[in-house]
Order: sequence, then C-alpha cells, then structure tokens
Amino acid sequence: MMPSMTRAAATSFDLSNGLRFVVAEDHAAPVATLGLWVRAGVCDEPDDCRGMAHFLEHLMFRGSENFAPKEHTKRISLKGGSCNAFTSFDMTVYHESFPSHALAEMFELESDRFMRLKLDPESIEIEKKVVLEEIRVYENQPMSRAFRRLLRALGGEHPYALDPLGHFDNVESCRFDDLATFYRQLYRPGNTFVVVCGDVDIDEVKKLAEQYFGEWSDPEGLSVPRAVAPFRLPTGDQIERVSIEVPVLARAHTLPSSDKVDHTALNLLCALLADGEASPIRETLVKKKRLCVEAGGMNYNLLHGGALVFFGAFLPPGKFEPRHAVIRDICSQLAEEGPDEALFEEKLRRFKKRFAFESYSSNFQMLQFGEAELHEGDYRKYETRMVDLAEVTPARVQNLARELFVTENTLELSVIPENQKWYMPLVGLAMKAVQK
Amino acid sequence: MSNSLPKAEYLRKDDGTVLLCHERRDVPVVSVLLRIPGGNLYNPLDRPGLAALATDLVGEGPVGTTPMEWRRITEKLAAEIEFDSGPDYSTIRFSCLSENLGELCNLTRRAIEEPGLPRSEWKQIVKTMRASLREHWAQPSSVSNHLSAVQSLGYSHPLAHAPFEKALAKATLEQGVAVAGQVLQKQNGTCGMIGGDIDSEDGFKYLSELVGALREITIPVDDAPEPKPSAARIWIADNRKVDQVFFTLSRRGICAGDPDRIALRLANYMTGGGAFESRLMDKVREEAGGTYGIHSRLQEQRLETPFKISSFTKVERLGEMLGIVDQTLKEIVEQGFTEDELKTARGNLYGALPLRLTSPSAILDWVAAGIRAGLDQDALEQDWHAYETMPLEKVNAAARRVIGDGEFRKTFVGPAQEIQRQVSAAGGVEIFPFKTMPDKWPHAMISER
Repeated sequence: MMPSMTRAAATSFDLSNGLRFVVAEDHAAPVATLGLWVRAGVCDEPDDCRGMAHFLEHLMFRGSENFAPKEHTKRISLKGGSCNAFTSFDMTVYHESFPSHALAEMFELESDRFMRLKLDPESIEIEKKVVLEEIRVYENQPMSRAFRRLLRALGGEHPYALDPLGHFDNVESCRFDDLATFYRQLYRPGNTFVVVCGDVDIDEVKKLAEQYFGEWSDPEGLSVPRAVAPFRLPTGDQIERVSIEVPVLARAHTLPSSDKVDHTALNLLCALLADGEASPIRETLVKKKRLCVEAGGMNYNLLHGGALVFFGAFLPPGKFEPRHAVIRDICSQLAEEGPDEALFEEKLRRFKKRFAFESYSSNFQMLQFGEAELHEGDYRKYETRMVDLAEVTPARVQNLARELFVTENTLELSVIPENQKWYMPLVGLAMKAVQK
Repeated sequence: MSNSLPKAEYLRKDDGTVLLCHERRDVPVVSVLLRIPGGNLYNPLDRPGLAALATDLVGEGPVGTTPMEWRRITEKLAAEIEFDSGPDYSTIRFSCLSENLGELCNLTRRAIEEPGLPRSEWKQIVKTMRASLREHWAQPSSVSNHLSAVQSLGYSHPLAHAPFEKALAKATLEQGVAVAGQVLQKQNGTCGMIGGDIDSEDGFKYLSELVGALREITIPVDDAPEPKPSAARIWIADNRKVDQVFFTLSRRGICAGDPDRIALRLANYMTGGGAFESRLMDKVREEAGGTYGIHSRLQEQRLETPFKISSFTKVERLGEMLGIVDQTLKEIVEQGFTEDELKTARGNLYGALPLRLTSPSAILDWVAAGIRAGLDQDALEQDWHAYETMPLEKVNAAARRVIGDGEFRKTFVGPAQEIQRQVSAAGGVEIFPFKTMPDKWPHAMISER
C-alpha cells in the first residue's frame, strides 16, 4: 500500500563497484533528498580512537579535491537547499534536501568528497577544537550527561554503550594518519549505499550514478571488518544515580540483532503496551494510579542487538517498587494472555496515519528507506510495513512477548537523581544524630 | 523552479476570524489547527505557566466524558487532540485519517463548547508540569535562553514570563478554571486552518463549527506591553559546575510586518542566521574553532522580539570569542556585506521557501503568519520575489539598524569569577546563583504590567 498517490514503488540498482542506489520517486513537490549511508559508526572505531567516525563526519565538510572548504554547504545553500550529517553506532549518514533540478550538482559534490576527500593537518586541528566543544556542550547539560552515564553503566565497553561523539582524550589525540586510514578503509562503494527520494527520475539517477560514482573502487588490502559482540543488558535489579532531577524507572529487555527480530511484531508489541495516552502502561501509571507523571516505551533495534524499554518518571517522594510492579504486571499479562484483539485495529490505524504523514517529507522517507536497508537488510521493508502489520496476528505478538519478557532477559532499573536527598531520610536522621 | 508559491483559500469573517484551507488530495490525512490570541497574556503575574496548565485541563475532554474515556475515544480514531498555550496565543490541533474527520471535529467541538475541567485531574497536571520544569531549569542552555528574554523585555512580558516550579506548585484549581475560560474566548485575530484531503467547502464548514464553539469574548486580552530592558547590561548566572560559558547578546528587535523585513532577513542570514554561510559561524567556528555553533535570531512575531546572538565556548576562551564576535559585528556595520555573500543569502532564502512548503500544515502556517503580520498571499509572494532584487545598500542599512552600535545586553551562564575576568563591566554587572528562579532575577519587576 502506498501512503501517497504520487509516489511510485521504490526501486534499486547496483553499480558494478557494488554501490547500491535506492530510488523512490514522488513528484508531488519539486523537492528531492539525497542520503549517503556509510557503514562506519562507533562499532567500526578502534578502541583507542572513540569518536573517529564522528570526527571524520565533520572533516567531510572541510573540502575535497575539486571543492574548497565551505563550498559544499555554500553551493547547496545557494540553491535554497540544506545539508547535514549524523553519526551513530552502525553508520554515518550524509544528506541534503534541494530543489530537484539541482540533482546533478548534488551528485557531483557528494562523489568528490566520498572519492577525493582532502584531509589537511591544519583543518584537522581547527575541527578538533569544534568537536571538543560539541562534546563539552552535551557533557555540560545534566540531562544528556545522565543519559551517557546510564548507557555506560548498563552496556560497559560495548560500542552501543558509548557516545558517538567520542571520548574527549581520544579525539584530542586523534592523528591525521588515523583519520586517513579510517576514511580509506570504510568510505568505499562496497560499504556504502545511496537513497534518493522525491521529484527525481530513475533513468536520470542511473545516468548520474554511473557518471559520478562509476569509477569509485574499493581499495586494495582492506582490513577485516571489526567483530562486534552482541549487545546485552544486565539482568535483575539495578540502581543508578545520575544527574537528573526526577526519578525514573525502566524495564528493559535485550533484543537480538536486527536481522533476527520480527520487526513488525516488535513494533506492534511496543505500540500495544506503551504507544499513546491510552496505552496500558501510561494509562495505569499516569492516569489510573497516579504513580508517575510521564510513562512510555521505545525500542532500539540495531545491527548487533538492542533493547525494548518501558519507563516512567515520578515526582518524589515515592518508592520504585510499586511502579516497577505495574509495568511488570502489564508485560506479564500480555505474555500470558495475549494482546487485546480490539486494540489491534486501533494501533493499525495509528500506524497507517503516521505512514501517510511521512510521505509529505522526502527527507523523512530517505531516512526510513535507509534504516530499512541498513537494519533489516531490505529497503522494501519500509514500503511493505503496513501490509506486514495487517498480517501480524495476536499470537505472533504474544510469542514475541513470551520470548522477550523472561526473567533472564529483563532488567529493572531505578534511576535516582544524584543530588536528591529525599530517598535517604533515615540516613539523614542518623547523620544529624551523630552530629549532635 | 516554479515562479509561484502554493496557495490557500481563505475566508475573513465579520468578527475578525480568519479561516484557511489548503486542499491536497494525494495523501489521505487532514490536519486542523485553531490559533486563538491570548495564551500567556492571561497568566497572572505571580503564576507564569498557568495558561498552559489551564489549556492542559481543557484537553481532558468535555463534560460527561471522563478523561480516560476521552483518551480512549480519540485514540480509537488514531488522533490526539492537543491543547496548548504559547507566548501570546493558544492552539488546538489534531490530525487524522480523512475518513475520521467528521467524528473528530464533533468531539473537538464538544470539548471546546463544554470543557469538563475535571477537578480530579488538576493535581496530576500540576505535578507533570513541575517535573518537567525541574529538569528544564537544571539545564544551562535553557537558563541561558530565559535569562536573555527577561533581561531584554522584563520578567512580566509575555515573551519572557517563563514558568518555574515554585510559581506553579501552589496554583489552585479555581485559578486554573478561571484562566481556562479566558483562553477559549473568540478574539479578533482567531485563525482556523484545515489542510489535506478535504475541499474548501467542507473545510470551511468544519472550521466554522469549531470556531463557533469558542465562547464570545468577555475579558479582552491586554495589548502588547512595552519591553522594559534591564538597567545592568551584563547578567551572570553563576554556575561553577560547567567548563563552558553559554552566552547571549541581545538588543531591540522587530515586530512582524516590519517594512524592512526582507532586507533584515537577508542581513540576519549573513550575520548569524544562515548557519555555515554566516559571518559569525565562519569567524568563530570555522576559523577559530571556538564553538560548535553560533547563531543570530531575528524573530517576527506580533510582539516585538529581541534580536539575539547566542553561543557557547570553553571558559578560558570566552574573552577571545567575544572579541571575535565584536570585531565581526563592527566590520559588518562599518564595511557591510559583499555582493557574493548577498548572492548566497538571496539564493537560500528564495530557494528554501518552496522546499519548506511541501505539506498542507507548512503552507497554512506560512499563510497564517502572513495574515497575522497584515500580509495577504499576494504580499507574501511579493516578499518572496523581493529577495532576488533587494539591493546591497538596503541590506547593509538593515544590518546597521539591527546590530546598531554593537551595544548589546549580555547574559552568561558559567563560573562567574572566570567570566568577570574576561568581560568588560561597562554598563553594570549583576551576578546571581545559577539555581535562582526568574522572579528573583535582578529585573523581576513582578509588580508591573
């Protein structure tokens, strides 16, 4: 089912060098988006160079053989377009939205920096300062600092527990040679795919792909890809103290790698329990029992595993256990009895609406097709999502819940504000007594 | 690129209400938005945020339906009806599959006409907001934003009147109910918008019913208060836990509909609004590596909003970065921009607008903003074309107007002692602890308005 009547089914083609192109034509507005997805993220960094993928992402805007520093963004801006990039655990993505008539110029700009990046020591030193400021600014916001600490406390040294921005010391000591090697080994056609969405013509895309990326080739003597262990959360109960102001509780279940997950059932499972104001977890914690001020759920489903997380936040004072119990009971009930069939229609309708809204934005579609290609191994999974959802049975969701919601795959986490005194009244009283 | 922009149909009613519709049938969804003047202007002076709490209470559904039933009904239709309160307006919005539009409009009309305002929900609504405010005020970047607004406009100004936990902890249901009645009054300037899979005949019918459900006005909203900038030109919120300083420079800005708006937008783009293409980004980030981002903001709202430049840098480099900012602004005022810079700014502002107007909501928001500024669609289209022809000397004059003599008010969040060492004290300095709430800032003026 197409969400929009103006969009044709997406197609793909591969160049002889292995570079894949995914193309989704939609002529509703004279806009297009180009996204280049490189399989180069935190997982691909050497242990002593944490932050290299992100640092290189910055340097990709510092000039290539045929375009001076700043020219990439300037040329796109001149057309009314915008460009940016982001680095994550498994990939770095470069993207631009622009008037569709500028497609050829975008190909020219991107191919130059992907094939002929100019790394020079002076730019590296200036950009290093910029990256360090970026790391500092997140570290100086208590909320984002708390999130980083929490991930680290739960995931240890696994790349998924690290901040993609990198370690301050590693970035500071990062050298020209390290970056050049990382670029040469990972920025290659066999490790990249391109997604083009919007007002484009497939034949033109094919022509431009061949013209600008046809001569790109994988370098000789590639190193073996870095082995990444499956991500696993600890199990049982855990208490963490971080720089937040309001206590948070979470129930988290480790997910297998994205190629082994029933994505459709997982999306539905998460939606059935925690999507929307009337979802069982939110309704019970926030509205019926008034134990929390906010509650919800999310799933992170990545190449080497991930987590399905349900959470609540509350204003102190209050105990964690009754709140954990609510989420625990709701999850157990679903695993034992299966989901409420009547809720299925409602959730499907919500997915259908979201899917339709996504079709207004070529940038959003580029991201969705890219995610499906990277994490599910097939960009078409994005388009068939509604069909797949309609085919999921309550039993399939229940089976997944039974598989995930077992004690040996469950973490109950209590996160306490590090500056909060409320939870230790007895310790406080004891200290006062001693002081007297 | 097409030489014209998408259009919306609109209807101006005798009572000052404007209805807008943009039809786009290829995607089976509809978005609806009502924008009602008032919002934070209804906050009592000692209760910033009360209008937001009141609109949350209205969002609990109509008389005769419990809040839980209300949520279940709307979610069955895959919709959430959101009630919100902004600086000088309130909004009611929802989106849905077009097949559910009639039912949702009826539900929303009921909620507007006869809000249940359930007593049972008040405490929970207040607690939710308190929790979010507690987190909000712990973040240096949030504090930095508010500091500058209060320093430039005065604490009680609706664009600066920020809620904080202590002010709302004692808010009573009676106060909330009183304000709830005020935020749902049909004011002159109320705007209803509908867009997507619907034609204008049906669209205007639904909007008329929704706007018709608003109560007739009994308590008119105060008109725009005058900005009351602080006496001391430098404010420092002393935070010794951070190794960066977050700073904002501000001076008087403009209102929507300013006759120089096109030249001003171009000047702002080249100063610091145009991300990597701006002078400030170029000098402070790209050449000096002094920050991750520096931006200038020229806002066009009904009420005059300050022109701001914001950034952050590591503590030891603050003096150096401020020096670069000052020098850059001085050069802009004295020498102006170049034709090459203007070409990029023109290209971007002209080219970006059609790229942004790809969904019905984006088109309706753009047309509605024009109407609020007194600009019809022809005028908006003329504005768009004016980017291409605006001469450099007018843009440079606009830059001189907005940057002026470079005498900005400045706010800083960071370790006060180190900041003082690097910042000139001319114009007066006020220092207070980071955790101080706005009513205790030097320029609270709580008794005014």
